[in-house]
Amino acid sequence: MRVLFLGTRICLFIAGFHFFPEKVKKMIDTIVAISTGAPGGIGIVRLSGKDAWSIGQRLLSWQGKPQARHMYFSKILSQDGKPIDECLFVLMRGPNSFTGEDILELHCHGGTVVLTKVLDRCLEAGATLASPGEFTQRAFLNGRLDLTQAEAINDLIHAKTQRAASVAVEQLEGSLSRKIKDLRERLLDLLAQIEGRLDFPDEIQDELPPELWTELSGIQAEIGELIRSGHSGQILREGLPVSIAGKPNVGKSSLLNALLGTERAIVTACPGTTRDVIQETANFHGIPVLLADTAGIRQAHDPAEQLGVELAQRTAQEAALVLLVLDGSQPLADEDHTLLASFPPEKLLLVVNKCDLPTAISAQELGELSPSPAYFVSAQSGQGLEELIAAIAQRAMLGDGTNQALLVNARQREALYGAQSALQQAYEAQELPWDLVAIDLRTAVEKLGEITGENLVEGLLERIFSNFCLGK
Amino acid sequence: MRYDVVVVGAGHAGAEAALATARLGLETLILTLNLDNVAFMACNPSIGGPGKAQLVREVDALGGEIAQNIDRSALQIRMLNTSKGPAVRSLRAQADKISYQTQMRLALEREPKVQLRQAVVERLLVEKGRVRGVVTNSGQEIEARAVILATGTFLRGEVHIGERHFPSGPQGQLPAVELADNLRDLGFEVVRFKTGTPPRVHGDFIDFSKTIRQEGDPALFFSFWTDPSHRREEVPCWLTHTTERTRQLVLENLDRAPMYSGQIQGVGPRYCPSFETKVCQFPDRGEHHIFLEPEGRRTREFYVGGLSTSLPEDVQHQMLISIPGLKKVRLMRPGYAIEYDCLVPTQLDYSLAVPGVEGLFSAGQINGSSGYEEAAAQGLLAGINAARHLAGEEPITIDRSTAYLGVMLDDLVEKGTDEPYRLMTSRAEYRLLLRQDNADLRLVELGRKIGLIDDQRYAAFLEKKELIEKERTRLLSTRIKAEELPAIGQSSTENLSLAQLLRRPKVSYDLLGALDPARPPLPPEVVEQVEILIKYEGYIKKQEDQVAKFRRQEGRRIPAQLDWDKVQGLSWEGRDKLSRLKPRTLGEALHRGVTPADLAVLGIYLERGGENIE
Repeated sequence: MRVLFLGTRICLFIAGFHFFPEKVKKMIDTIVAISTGAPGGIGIVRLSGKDAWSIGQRLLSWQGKPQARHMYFSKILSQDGKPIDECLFVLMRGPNSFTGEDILELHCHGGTVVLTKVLDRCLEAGATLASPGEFTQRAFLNGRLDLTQAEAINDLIHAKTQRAASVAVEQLEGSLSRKIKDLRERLLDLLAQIEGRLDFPDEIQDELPPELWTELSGIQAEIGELIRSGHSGQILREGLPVSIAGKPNVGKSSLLNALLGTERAIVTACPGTTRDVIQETANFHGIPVLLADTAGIRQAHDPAEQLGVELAQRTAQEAALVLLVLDGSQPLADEDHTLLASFPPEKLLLVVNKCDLPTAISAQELGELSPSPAYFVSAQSGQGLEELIAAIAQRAMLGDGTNQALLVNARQREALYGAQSALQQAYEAQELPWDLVAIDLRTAVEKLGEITGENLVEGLLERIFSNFCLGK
Repeated sequence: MRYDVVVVGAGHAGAEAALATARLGLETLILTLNLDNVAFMACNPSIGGPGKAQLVREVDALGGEIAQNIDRSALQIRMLNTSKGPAVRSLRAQADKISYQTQMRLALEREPKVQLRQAVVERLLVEKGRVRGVVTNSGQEIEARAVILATGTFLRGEVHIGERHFPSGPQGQLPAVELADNLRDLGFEVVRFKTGTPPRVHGDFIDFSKTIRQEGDPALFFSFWTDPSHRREEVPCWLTHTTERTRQLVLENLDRAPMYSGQIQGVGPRYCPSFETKVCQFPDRGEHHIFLEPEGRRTREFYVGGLSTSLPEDVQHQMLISIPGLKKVRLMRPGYAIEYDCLVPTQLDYSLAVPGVEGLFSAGQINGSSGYEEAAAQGLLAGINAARHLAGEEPITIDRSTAYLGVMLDDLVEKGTDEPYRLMTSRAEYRLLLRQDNADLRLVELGRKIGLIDDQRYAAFLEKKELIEKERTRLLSTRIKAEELPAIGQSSTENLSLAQLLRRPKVSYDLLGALDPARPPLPPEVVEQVEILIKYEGYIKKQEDQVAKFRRQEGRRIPAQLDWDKVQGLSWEGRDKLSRLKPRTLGEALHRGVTPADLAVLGIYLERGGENIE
């Protein structure tokens, strides 16, 4: 076994070298980047590649052979020996590093000027500038990450808020991939019970254990759980789409600005000013919220305004939550009632704006409008905004409201749905011959394997051989 | 003399290869180390079983010999997995080992364009990247336009029995040492595998009263073309088991087992472990099944299935005594382990041609497989493709959705194997479509196109096909009144077609007879086909959809000038493989062992129109 495996690997490697020298060179390059984001107290310049340490030796004042994963204090020197900065550095040896290659991290003083100087010095000493995501890419190429983890890193880079980032980090550590691997392995065990009996009728003559079916429906339930938690995962990653709707000039744009704390939308006292949909991301209690301000919804006369109104209606329909804004200083109009009726009640959050002005709407009127409580705010003074923000965040996390949500992206969700429905069909086939049950079970395992990147047959055979004593 | 084809080795692969090339009109010389050992069953005297039976039927449908040969020489044939579903129902025959050999040898001798000769091939004649023939150990040069290697486990064979080990082919035959060296010298990548066989005992000293009798069914046959009225005189097999004492003997003598002392380096098959491996891996298991299988009608020798071992002979003897029914055992041949060289099969292409040397093909155990059936199927394919190569025709390739043969090829050629490869039904994704009962429907047309199905067989096939279609249509259109249903224990509020009834779980074609007086007399294989097609229609449809998806993926084109470095997220190995092999389609990429994850990345890239494709 070893001989064969080694043989193929060597063959591949040599062939790769022979035919694609430029690609090999690319992987041989040692890359460098400033890997901390916004300026802070400390900035890290990271090198990855087989020359990471020899480049380090060229620019560090520290002499000797550093122990991997130990921190040392050193000066960073320019080519002519002048100190650029003082730093702590740590060397991680491949393959036990994030990228699977040697990594040298220079923990310098934060500040763009210094960090840029250090970076330049690294480039001068032989490193090449990393392209965006190249560290991750190398980690993936070097087999340090599976597809789920790589996707999680991608999500991490694009995570819109801290909470989403913390979930991405959790997934990076493989919580999703661990969970799915675990489910897949349990399914493989079940499948091996069946397949072993199909392929080795002499050796395994007994009936299927009845617990098989309980386990099967248990796994199905857990997949369902993952799908459900995946929805809040999606909100964390993509943001909760919230639309601000209302008749013209009730203060929708002012509300948006107040919620964002910026001056994004044009605010005038002239009805129909906002004609495009304005979308912004806000961070409400760690939940990314996509706030869309829309044109005031009314019968428009101006064609451009008409377009904006249509867009507004569509946006509001697609939103997970609609903030229906009323002008508290004006009596309720017919348009308010019409609007209210055009959205499903579970999507609605009633917001009474301009509560700094004398109120023209009675509590009784509001109660008749909607059974759920209305939020009284003033975009002008900021009054009531905190409560509104808390309510929106709570809506987003409805159902779990925990940190445990697993990020499940569309591809993963699709595979989970596929597995779930295949298991349902397998469960319903209890009375049928085993080879038919196996068809759906195999589909389920394959679907989960699409997420973890694992192949069915080899894992299955492994199971059969380790679970049953076979061979004539 | 100059031949079109020389086949090296007259085992299960070589015999099929030679018959195929000769039947396709080529002057064929088949060489064997020992003429008395043509199609020799070195291990289990048995053909078929799950996965393998399907393969035997496929070879039959393509015009190969194995099914006919086992029908001519079987001691008994059983149907396995009868209640586990149509996909895995599998025939298995116990062979009269001597008769099997004699019949196959006779088939070769009677084939006008085959010459069968005893000779030891030492090396290949290769000139300018083309094979030109072979050289025997007498120094004779034999010229040929194509050479098919079917050397089995003989290449640098080394037998182990306890502490003893010596160069040998299976069961005391000559090993092929020079040829093995020659293949290494030619630059082929070679791997060392191990397999083993149990001891054989004398039947007159078995107390069968301590064992369970296993009968066959004299009306069962492998070949689609065997006369179904033929009836076999059946010989039973016997089932017994090992005991705690057997286990103890293994544990006490483990230091003398070459598998555990480090004497054996080759990799053995997991599906066919030695008994010592079973004991070590499943320490909690007290008893293991032992199958006592007769080796022929004219011998009292019995194969002790389940006791494959390379422990020393004296220990083997003690182990046998500890088995119920074998107290007075007479050991006739000891079990042994054999190590041998084979080609790393990923070097081969789908046609079983050996790239780098034009006109060279290889088949059977030399390609890392194990089993007579696997060997025969490869032999047939190598023979067909050698013939097509010489005729300047495109090779025949068969994919995973068409036949077990395709599954095996794909597994060997694209994925490789790290143990002697055996077919199992679990290796086939589209198992329900690749049944033994429909192998002819899947492959006879191809066999006909190749030229190995004669007019008579083809006519019989077309007739069967027509009967199936007619009966299926009749069942779909014949309606039964609801009030008649209680007669067969069914009920319904409305009238139902016979097909609708047949889809119900407890209803069989047989049972429907009571409501279906107009039913035509039909051969059982037609009834079987109709019943499966209707009863499992939903699942068959499901698998057909999977195949359609597989074929779509197979067909999804990858632009030739694709810059692999631009495809973000591919694994290092995947990228290397892809850029080296330049697959033309996603399916081909899959065959080339690209992981599903890489395939997904690539699929997404293509989906996004990454290379402005069409």
